[in-house]
Amino acid sequence: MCFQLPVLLLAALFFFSACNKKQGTDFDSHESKVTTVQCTTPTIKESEQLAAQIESELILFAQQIISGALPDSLSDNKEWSQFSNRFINSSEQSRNVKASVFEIRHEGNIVQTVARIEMKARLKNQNYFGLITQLKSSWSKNEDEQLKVLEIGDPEQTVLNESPVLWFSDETDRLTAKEPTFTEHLSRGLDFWLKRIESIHGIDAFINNGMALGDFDGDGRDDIYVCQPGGLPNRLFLHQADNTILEAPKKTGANYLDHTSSALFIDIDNDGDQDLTLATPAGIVLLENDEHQSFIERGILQTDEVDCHSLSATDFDMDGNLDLLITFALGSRSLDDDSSFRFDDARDGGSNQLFRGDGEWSFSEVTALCGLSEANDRHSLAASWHDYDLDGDPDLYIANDYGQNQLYRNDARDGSRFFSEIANEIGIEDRGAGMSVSWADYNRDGLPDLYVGNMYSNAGKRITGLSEFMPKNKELTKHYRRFAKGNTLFKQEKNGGFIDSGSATTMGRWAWSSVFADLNNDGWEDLIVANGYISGPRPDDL
Amino acid sequence: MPLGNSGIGPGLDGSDPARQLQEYVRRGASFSGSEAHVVFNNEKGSFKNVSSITGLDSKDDGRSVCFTDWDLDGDLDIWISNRNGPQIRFFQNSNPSDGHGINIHLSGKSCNRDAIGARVILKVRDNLPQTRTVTAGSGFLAQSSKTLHFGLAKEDVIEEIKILWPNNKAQIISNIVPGNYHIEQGSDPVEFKVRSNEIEKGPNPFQETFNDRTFLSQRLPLAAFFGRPPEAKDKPLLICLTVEDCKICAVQKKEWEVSPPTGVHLQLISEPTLALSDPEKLQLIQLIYDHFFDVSEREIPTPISFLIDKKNRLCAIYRGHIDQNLLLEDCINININGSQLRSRSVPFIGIWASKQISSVRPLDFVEDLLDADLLDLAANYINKEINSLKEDELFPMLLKRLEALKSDRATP
Repeated sequence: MCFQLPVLLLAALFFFSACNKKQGTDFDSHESKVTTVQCTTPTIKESEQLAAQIESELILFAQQIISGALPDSLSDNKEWSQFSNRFINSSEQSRNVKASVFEIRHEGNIVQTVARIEMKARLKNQNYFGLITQLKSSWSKNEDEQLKVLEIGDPEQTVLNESPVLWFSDETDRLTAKEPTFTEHLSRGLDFWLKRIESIHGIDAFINNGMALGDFDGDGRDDIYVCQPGGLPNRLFLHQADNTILEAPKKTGANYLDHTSSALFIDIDNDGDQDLTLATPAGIVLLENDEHQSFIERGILQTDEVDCHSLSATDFDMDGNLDLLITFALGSRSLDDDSSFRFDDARDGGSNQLFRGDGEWSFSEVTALCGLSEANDRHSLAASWHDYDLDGDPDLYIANDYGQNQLYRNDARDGSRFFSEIANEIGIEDRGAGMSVSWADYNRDGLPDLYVGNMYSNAGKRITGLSEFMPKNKELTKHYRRFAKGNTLFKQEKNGGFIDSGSATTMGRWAWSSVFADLNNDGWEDLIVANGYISGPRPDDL
Repeated sequence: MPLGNSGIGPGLDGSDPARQLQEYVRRGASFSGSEAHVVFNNEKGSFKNVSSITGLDSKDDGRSVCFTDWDLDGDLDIWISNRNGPQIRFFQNSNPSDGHGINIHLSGKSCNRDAIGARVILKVRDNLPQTRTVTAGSGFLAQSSKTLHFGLAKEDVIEEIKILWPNNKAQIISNIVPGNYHIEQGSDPVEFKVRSNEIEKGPNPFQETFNDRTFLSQRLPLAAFFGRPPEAKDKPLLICLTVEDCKICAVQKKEWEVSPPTGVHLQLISEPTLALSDPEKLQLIQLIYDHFFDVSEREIPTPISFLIDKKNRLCAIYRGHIDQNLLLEDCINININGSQLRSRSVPFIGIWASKQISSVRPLDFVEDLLDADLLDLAANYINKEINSLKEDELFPMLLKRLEALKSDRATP
């Protein structure tokens, strides 16, 4: 089999859909450059064009429903009429609709789709109301490629929500109003800075920067450290008595300018205050908290790679000193034949590194010593420590892009210094575009469960579902389908294995942090998924 | 899945879709952008999409999510970081249900002081246990508060809290009411109090105002393109491009008519629109404007000015109106180098962990010209800068590429 296929498929997954939805004319000249790619599987392209058209039609349909103008053909349909009635007299400005076609089938001139419709509005009684439903629809196309709706199916798997108040309110402006650096710097997004800071400083269009909470000044309130790309200073904001934030004085020594992917507030020297560690291409920067007033740089742990991502701390050997794990996405090693990149199983990632804390600000690099160097070649975007098997020592889960994830079981409690990689054994390899790890006992059965953030793509689902998509390689098709599926909730069983708990929590869109937390104080841990890849300055979306 | 720098190699026919996708984004297109955050409510173990009523379904490009009971009112508030601006957002919990919660901050004694790895199991009457673990680093590039939070619904007495410290010692606390607690390993819970914050705050001594100019950390030779009038021999040159129908351009020109910029020789190019009479020149200006940055083909703001030193090298790019004092300062500092230059080339002050900036290849700019099919300009540039260019080991390959492109063009 040709190894270059995955690259074509990458194009299929994202690129075909990209070209069809363009609204601007700016891209015309570039489109012509890549026609060779498009023409190789024209049926997918056509299919995507139809999907885009049907999506537009369904948006019109949803707008009719939400504005109470049910199409004549559906006036007898109880369920659609009911939905439409709910929105009667809702505030017009508050109405919001979205339609996403995620399945498409072609039979001659008939096109059948499954789509998700999302609608929300503020009702007459001032309540917030939201509706998510799925519907099947079928369409016919005539010789001029004009679409005509044949049938709109009944709403399925409908989710309704109504609440007199929103659970959360955006208080960013109030909290940051007193801090001028917020306006000057953080109110502007990456796209603004990309055109103002030379890329040589370590800033690029695809860079990701994290955030950490911890009590730097010892007042009992969490402060916030915001990581930045190269050329922009990281910012430490102190939590004020009135809950607003003000930046710590410059002399605090927190304004690092190197690209910082993530940071952690931890008490490295066990002296009762919060030190700070930063993941940067120059290594892990160790900063000692000095009397709650400033940071003293206590060294930089040199790393082998530069494309750093997640930083996490644990005490894996339970000697009382915290240890640090840093993950890397890209690796510096190049494949022998660079066309052999495996989109579904990339093995050219950077090696993650474990640093054991030995006290007194000294650390030892123990990746190989602990057995973590095996298969340590994936694009690792996220990691989190948790004693999943309740044996008293923290285990490690790593979410990898372009391939399967890893669970390293720690047996330190039994005297072993080696980790064992057992993700496949216990069923949580989750082959996808892993980007986030969160552990919790969501069903309160005492066993830790796992939520993994992945990519969800309507276009990906549509294309990989087509019979024209890789007809000769069913195995790989399965992987690609998995790739577009979205997040996974793994429930732990009594036997120590995990099962995928189904589709209710997969649709997190292009997911990044996908995490458990009890948001409504009912004692059950909910899930929030922060998503969206890149909203560029142009309106067209790939 | 961050596609950038993904290292995906070329596909069939030498095409490289991953790179093409990257280029689209670099030119400003969106890619799965403007997506609304998703929230699933856990209803006794099964989940329901409640995004629309949470107020969290913002369309930011979210990345990190950090939880903390910021206002210590018993429920979790959320900080989310974004790729777009504002880069951080705070969401305050205003959940209508009157359920309350308990916050527990642990500190270890015979284990690590942060008690990272400690597991806390909370039991209320006739209810299933809840478990939380002290963690440092979870989700994507995020660290939430190390203070553990439990939602208690309507319960007002907690029967038991069991703490399993990282060194496997268990501690049990009975009959405690909702609130904020600090528990030191082996001791009884004490009410968690915030103290006055003693750090000397005051205003920062540095005014951090962003000036819309880039003082470059690298010097780009441009003698091949810009002539230098004799009267500008001993001064830096400021080339400023203005267009009609641009308020700031008019303001800037008027200002300079009254008091010309000091310390530089001003060369004003006034055009009706950005579509210059000479399209090749516009393309060149766009190339120079794009050369240093990861993104390209973004619209050039007007007025746009380039500061060029006596050796005909580009030193700074100004967008919009130029602050006279800043320009003067830049001229004074035009020859700085090393760490001084590195500091001046970023918009805000700070500390570098890395010792030095990676070096640039003068060759790269010629590559840009070739990519843009400006072969004559590239040839001129090579002639003019041959001395510095030929030191690069890739120089012979560059010449080969130029020749190949030339012969491609010659054959119809």
